[in-house]
Amino acid sequence: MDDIHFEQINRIDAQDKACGTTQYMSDLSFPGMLYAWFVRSKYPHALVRSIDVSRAMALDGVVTVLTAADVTGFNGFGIVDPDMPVICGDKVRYMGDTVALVAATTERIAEQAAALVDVDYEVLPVVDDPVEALKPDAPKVHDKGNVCLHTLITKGDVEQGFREADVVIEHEYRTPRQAHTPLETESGVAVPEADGSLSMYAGSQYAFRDQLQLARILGMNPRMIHVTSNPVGGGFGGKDELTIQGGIALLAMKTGKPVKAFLSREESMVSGWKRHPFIVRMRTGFKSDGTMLANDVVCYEDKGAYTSLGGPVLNLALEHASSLYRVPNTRHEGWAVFTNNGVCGAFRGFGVPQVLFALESNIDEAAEKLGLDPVTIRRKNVLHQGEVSPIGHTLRTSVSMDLVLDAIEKSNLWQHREEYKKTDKPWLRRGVALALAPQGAGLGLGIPDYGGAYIDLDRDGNFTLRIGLVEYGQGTHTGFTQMAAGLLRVDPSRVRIVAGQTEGSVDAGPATASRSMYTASNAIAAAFRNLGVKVIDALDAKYHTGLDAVCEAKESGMTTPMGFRTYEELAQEFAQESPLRGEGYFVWPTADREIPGAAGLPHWIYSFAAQAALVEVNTLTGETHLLRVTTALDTGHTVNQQQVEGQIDGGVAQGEGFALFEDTLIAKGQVRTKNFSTYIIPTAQDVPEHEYIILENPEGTSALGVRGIGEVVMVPVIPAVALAIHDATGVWVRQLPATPERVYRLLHPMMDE
Amino acid sequence: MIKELEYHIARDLKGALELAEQFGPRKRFLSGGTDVTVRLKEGLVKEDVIVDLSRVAELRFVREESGVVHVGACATHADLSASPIVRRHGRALAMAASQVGGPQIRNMGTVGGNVANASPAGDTIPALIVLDAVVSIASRSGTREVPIIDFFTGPGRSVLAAEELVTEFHFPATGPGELTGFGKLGSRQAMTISTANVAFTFRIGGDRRIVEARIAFGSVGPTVIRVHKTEQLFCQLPPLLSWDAIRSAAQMAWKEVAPIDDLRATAVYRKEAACGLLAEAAYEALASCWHER
Repeated sequence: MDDIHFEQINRIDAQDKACGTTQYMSDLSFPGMLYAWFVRSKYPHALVRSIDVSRAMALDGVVTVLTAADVTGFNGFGIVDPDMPVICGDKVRYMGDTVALVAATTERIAEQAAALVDVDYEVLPVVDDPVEALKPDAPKVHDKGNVCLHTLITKGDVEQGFREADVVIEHEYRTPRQAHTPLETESGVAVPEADGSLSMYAGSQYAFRDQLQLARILGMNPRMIHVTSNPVGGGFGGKDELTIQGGIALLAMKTGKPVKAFLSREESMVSGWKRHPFIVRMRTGFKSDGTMLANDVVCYEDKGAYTSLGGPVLNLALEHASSLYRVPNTRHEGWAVFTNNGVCGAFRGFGVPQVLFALESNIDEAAEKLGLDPVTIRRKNVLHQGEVSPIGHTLRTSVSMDLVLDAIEKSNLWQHREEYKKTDKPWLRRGVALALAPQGAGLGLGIPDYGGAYIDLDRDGNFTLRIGLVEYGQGTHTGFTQMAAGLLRVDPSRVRIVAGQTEGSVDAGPATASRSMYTASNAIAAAFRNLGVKVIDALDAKYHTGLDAVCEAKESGMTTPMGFRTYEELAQEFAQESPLRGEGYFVWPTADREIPGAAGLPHWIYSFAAQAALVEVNTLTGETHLLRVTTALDTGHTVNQQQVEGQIDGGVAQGEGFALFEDTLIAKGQVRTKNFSTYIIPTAQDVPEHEYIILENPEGTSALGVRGIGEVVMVPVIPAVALAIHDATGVWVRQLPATPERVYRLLHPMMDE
Repeated sequence: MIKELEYHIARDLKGALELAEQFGPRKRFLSGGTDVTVRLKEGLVKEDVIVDLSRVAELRFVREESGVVHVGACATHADLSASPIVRRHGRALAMAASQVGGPQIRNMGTVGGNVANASPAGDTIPALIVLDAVVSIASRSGTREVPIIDFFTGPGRSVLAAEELVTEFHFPATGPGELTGFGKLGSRQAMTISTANVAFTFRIGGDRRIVEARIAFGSVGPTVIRVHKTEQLFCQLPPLLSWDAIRSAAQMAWKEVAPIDDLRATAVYRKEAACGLLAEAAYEALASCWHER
């Protein structure tokens, strides 16, 4: 399969999306459909003494109002720990908590009714600082306390490392509560069917897990719940966990009518998942030649009110807290801490941007102190395949840290950085910096990381690829089509995809963790092999041609024991009553043992990127413009160049947002930045010029050599921007986003005195 | 939830003034709707009648007559930024209009709305002030004219009576020897509410000195404000391009602005950054006039 050719095609969904004809789940409506309203908490932290829904029920047009007592199954959800109530009965823990659900004939009536639900609260003190929340006398968000997870990973002896070090850099770093801001907010329709089953149409990143969580909430057999979650109008991790599905499912089953919810941007910003803000205290020791000796890290993760994926995010951050550098002595400790600051969950990068901002900053500061350049110090420390990672596992799969570092060093921006830094305005300063990132892909150790796919040879000789993984904008379905077409040796137009449906597609795990393309490569390749076996079986059953032969795909057909057959011919003979189905199943390779004390670690397959950034800082106002970014990225094997560049463009914009603009501000539990006039994301005017360097170091455990790239493309740009500000002005940025006022205050520290 | 409203569409100025008189303080004018609709959604509109001006074509114009530029209240920001008259004879206004929001907002939002809203952050206001604009106000009972600097009485408040409507702005066309400019500080490059903004007009004398300076800041006080001490210092600048001299003159604005803390920035930062913003914008303009002469 080494010679597989991926025909470079445009996105298969481009025309429908550009023309607005794509039907997202939020576009759907059904006869007799009702509208849901989530009655949200009035306080960030309070006991619920009583709820009276009588006034709301009395409003004309209201069909039902549900409270916690109406939850038919288990009143909770959460991928790891189902500690988030669908409807809160006795306590609320953030402003997005639901205390009642309304279904009404119009959205307006539903909203009016929500205001008529009378809730008697006993207000509790707000827990809004993760470090304070760890103190023994802090008010408790949950009965079990405020510690969601504590992890400690050690290797070697950090104190010994620091004693041998010539330079020790120690700082505290802070990162923002980034919002996913998908164009399509949390939305969907729940439809009760005549046979007592429920159809859920809601964009999400994993239909099959939604099915199980909904079954638990409703107290129903999962087979009676059919989830369609594709296509999704943007996810970025914010639709990995359930959002509105539990609420509309309960309302639909109660009323017997289809029920729709489509959150306003403001409600989405208050109730939706966010990126965990981190406080990272990092102490890093170096020898005078730049060799890293020790890294002592403590992370405080602001978990928000409920668990969701806060534990795995913390642990992935700790796994990457010394990156893939050769650090003999490490101590990585982390606390995931419950607060009343909204809710945080999965987000592209999954903890890695937070810690690499700290690490790459410490490395550049050490380089400056030691008179080394940023490339030299990193080259001295990058790990290679076969070496031991900073958390103690041996790196068995491909490692491309040096590959991306070499490429970024040779890039136009890095080679000509002094010319790029010239400016003739007395108040402007320009700087260039670079950073590296590995990004562990897949779900990690201990969680079965599984992917299935079917390739159906249909009656007409064309193919249907059935796979669970959704398209939420990444371009993966185009990639899957190319992979299947490349293996089958047919024009990509002959492959259609059915995805993101519990009926009709195959569970391939969540569309998260940079795992879609890699998982699909192996599942599709296995399905393709199996299709060949099915052809052999079918021929043998009819012509007794034997079972030993292997089919090989040739132009638009296969070689068989009876000679070459086109797919049309095979379909004519064997696929008239039902499709001839190739089934492929794949389980990710994992490490053979867990990192002690760190559930899920280590990861086994990595993505790699290096990025360099050119910024311009206005020293009068602190405004920072990101002018140019170069990305050196290892794709393993590029399936679609245009989509890779698209992921880089989007990743850089999202990384830029993290570095310069974005932060969900919460004061005393109240979200202050509820829409796009106050929650600032980069516009087309803000995004930089791009230079792409695409490298292909095949990942040996993928049948097609591919690796996921969706997350890593947003990671190194974050420290690179912060460090470019240093290169431009001499100040070190320790807190992101580097807003104009923050940068100004760094440049003019005497301002307040 | 947007409350239920009575909605009236004015077809011409006469109709608009009749509706204004009929509904008085119960009504709110809507021109491009870029502010009113947002405030409606946030529940901040106390009026329960909307009078839509967007079809009053006679208020959408830009023209120059005998050295005076007339801008209709319903001229959009896109109209102003594209108008050769405004670009030549009131450049600060064209610059300000071109930095309002994004293309969609500039296509809908109007200069009359921007001014009548009386937001201290309105981008066209400092530009109109340094152009010495006069506001024409009409009602059923007649018309009156108010210098724009006297138009505002506080944040969101103006001299406009309930039955009155802003119909146009007019200002003397800037000529050779007059430099005008605008600078804006926001949280990003577009689609941003000003953290601070500044506009200026410098009249350059025969000896290349600044003989008259008008400088106005937005978003750093309860209304847009002129900074007279700073203006005086700009009139004392040496007639050659000196960054240090410009920077130093601009620094006087620190004493003359009175910002507050809000979600976008703190007061202390706004004071400092406003000075920098003026220095930068003034340097750019003076460089084009003084450079290499």
